[in-house]
Amino acid sequence: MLGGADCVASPSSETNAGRAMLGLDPETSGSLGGMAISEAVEDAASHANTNYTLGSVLNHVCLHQSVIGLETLEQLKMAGEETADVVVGCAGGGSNFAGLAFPFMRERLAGRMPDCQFIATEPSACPTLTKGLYAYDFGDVSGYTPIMQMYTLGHGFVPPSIHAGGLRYHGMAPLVSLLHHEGLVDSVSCHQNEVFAAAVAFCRSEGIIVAPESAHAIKTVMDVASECTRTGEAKTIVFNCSGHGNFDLSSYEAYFAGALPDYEYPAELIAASLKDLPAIH
Amino acid sequence: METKYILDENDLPRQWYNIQADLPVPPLSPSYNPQTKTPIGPADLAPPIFAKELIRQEVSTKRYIDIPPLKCGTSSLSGDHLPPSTVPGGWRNS
Ligand SMILES: Cc1ncc(COP(=O)(O)O)c(C=O)c1O
Repeated sequence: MLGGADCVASPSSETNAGRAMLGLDPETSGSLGGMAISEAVEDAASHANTNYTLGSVLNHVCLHQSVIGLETLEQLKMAGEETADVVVGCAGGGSNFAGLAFPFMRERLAGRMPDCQFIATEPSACPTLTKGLYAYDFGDVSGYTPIMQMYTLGHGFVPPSIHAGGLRYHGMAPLVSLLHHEGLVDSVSCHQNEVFAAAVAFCRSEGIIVAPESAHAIKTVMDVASECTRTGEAKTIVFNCSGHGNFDLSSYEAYFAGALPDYEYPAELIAASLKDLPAIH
Repeated sequence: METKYILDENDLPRQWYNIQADLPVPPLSPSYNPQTKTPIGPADLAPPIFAKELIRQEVSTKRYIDIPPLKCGTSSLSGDHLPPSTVPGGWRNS
């Protein structure tokens, strides 16, 4: 809008996919991957002058984001650190986590950081890595995207409307999924009130307002650091602040007003949507 | 105590790192065509949806891939100190 682009909320009435989803539930809260991706793919496929730039999940997005980890390795050297002990990122579709973690994973796999631990943090309301299946599934609700082997909550899963909208995705980058499946990446999930509490503590100590998505990583970093305090261990903890929270002040306001619900693990919804996985043999 | 470490522009990466070259159990399983449910190759990903170069990168197992020079930079509309990380995808698509 500011830049002169047209902007519509998904699901919209401008695509077949969007109209179908509104037909099923006119009040739907939408979802990042599920619904917005279906609409974008349909638009790209039906206009000759339009390509689609996916912002997460795919291998080439993880590739581009590798600058995050490559730069962090250099910056660690400047800070006099040879290795990291724990690498933390939030995970929606997995791209900022992959971007930070993969260059460190290169070091671990090459034996230069053999003990480096990797933790992806996700919302308890959309627990793809912690509670999902490692299976073949579509990347979007309408089944337009290729079917990928990944952790998934089912492509039809509509996550509860938590404020970290960027983490409301049913799937996970196949590359992150593979490394998680192989035991090289760990995962944890957090509720949004504890996540906002961590973000507020971070703001008060560092003067940085972080995005609700990034606050998931901060919650984990604080947990790891508290554990170090308890055990007396010294660890180098690296995390990625994937975005600022300047546009999320109304979410902070809702947190301070005590108006944020913590959604329980939506087990029944996930079980229902996992019934619709495509059959691949 | 020094708490901030800013890389000089000359020290920024010139190549992306592709973990597909180093997977513990290569290769990554193929993706499948949503209609035919058969394994897909680069041809299935072809335009009209994705740009050609992105498809090459998607299936590449080369460890390092050159980052192309920026064709058209913009100031930061969102107030981030650096352009958002999705920008390389954006201009690479153009
Ligand atoms: C600030 C921020 N962090 C993280 C994410 C999650 O995406 P990914 O897991 O691909 O990094 C998003 C997605 O929109 C985001 O806006």
